[in-house]
Amino acid sequence: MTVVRTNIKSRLSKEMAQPGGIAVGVAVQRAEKALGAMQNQCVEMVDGLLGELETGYASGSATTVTKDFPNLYRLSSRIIDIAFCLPGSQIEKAAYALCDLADRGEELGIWDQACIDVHISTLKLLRHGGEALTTAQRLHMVAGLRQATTRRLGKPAAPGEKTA
Amino acid sequence: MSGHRSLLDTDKANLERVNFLVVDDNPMFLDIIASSITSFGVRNIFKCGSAREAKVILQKTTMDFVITEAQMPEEDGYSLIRWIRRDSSDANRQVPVVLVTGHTRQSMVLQGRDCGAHFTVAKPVTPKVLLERIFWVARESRGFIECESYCGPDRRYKRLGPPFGTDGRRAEDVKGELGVPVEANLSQEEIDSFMVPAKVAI
Repeated sequence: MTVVRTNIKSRLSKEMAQPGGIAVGVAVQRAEKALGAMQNQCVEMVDGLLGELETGYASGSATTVTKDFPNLYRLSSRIIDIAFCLPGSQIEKAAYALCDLADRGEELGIWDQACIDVHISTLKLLRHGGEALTTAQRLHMVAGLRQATTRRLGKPAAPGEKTA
Repeated sequence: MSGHRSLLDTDKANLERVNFLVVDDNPMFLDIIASSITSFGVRNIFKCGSAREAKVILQKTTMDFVITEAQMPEEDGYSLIRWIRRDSSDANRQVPVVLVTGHTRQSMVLQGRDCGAHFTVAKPVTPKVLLERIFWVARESRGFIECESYCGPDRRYKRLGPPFGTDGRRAEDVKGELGVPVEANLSQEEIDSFMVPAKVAI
């Protein structure tokens, strides 16, 4: 097998070294301010996504639960996309756990309604818990979600390993 | 050295003439990234909602940095990166690419490793992490590998030594029996940290 190895300085590094530009501290501060301006819009979107999850997939609220793994996965992954707007809430970790549940459930062909309900309730609690919940409590809740998925679906396969 | 040191607030960069391409099917995420990189001083940002749109732009414009979501409905980010590495114009084939993902599907873990991205970044992406990756890519001296099974930046950049039980393929790999490992190798960063003078309370 022929392996060709090249070492070329990228245009990016040449351009970045040009005189002028801005300092990292200033750039990050500006970016955080710009994202701050988008925060309310993102929080509204998170609430909208939580609403869709609840009405579509929670057994208590949904009239008929459609076992739609891809959409369940899409909604929870959209929450991760914009979770910067709820710093410290750990909502992105719970949404990640729901992505995991949807992904592995689809792979194994197991729709576990009870486990999905727990994930949706936890997401809502993390969103609305405010200062009543400490970081340790929030992390404990997320760890509980992971355990629930492992208990119901087993441990995830190692990369490249085929699942049953 | 891996060269991946943390950024200092005083580090400076000029990104005014750099061409950035951001690809994601979530318009809100495109706005978040665009807003961050505009604040870094970038003026030329190309936003695309799909891999198909991105390919059209990549055929016409030389990019300096690409950020793509891993999972998109029609064509995913892994496939887009493979296309960039194998089939795009010569000007874009070695462009730095960062793959962003909220969650990696179990079936995609190996694709993520082998598609040819420079880094994978977990969402939600903070401005600091994003800027740090831009600096890392610009500073690093990783070679670009092209062979039948892989095309992209050298994946062995941490210098953890050759895989256990093999002699390794690099000139600097130490050959021969070194004894039975009792724990994981130290990373280059950990080794470097032994040499860094640190302030201590006495």
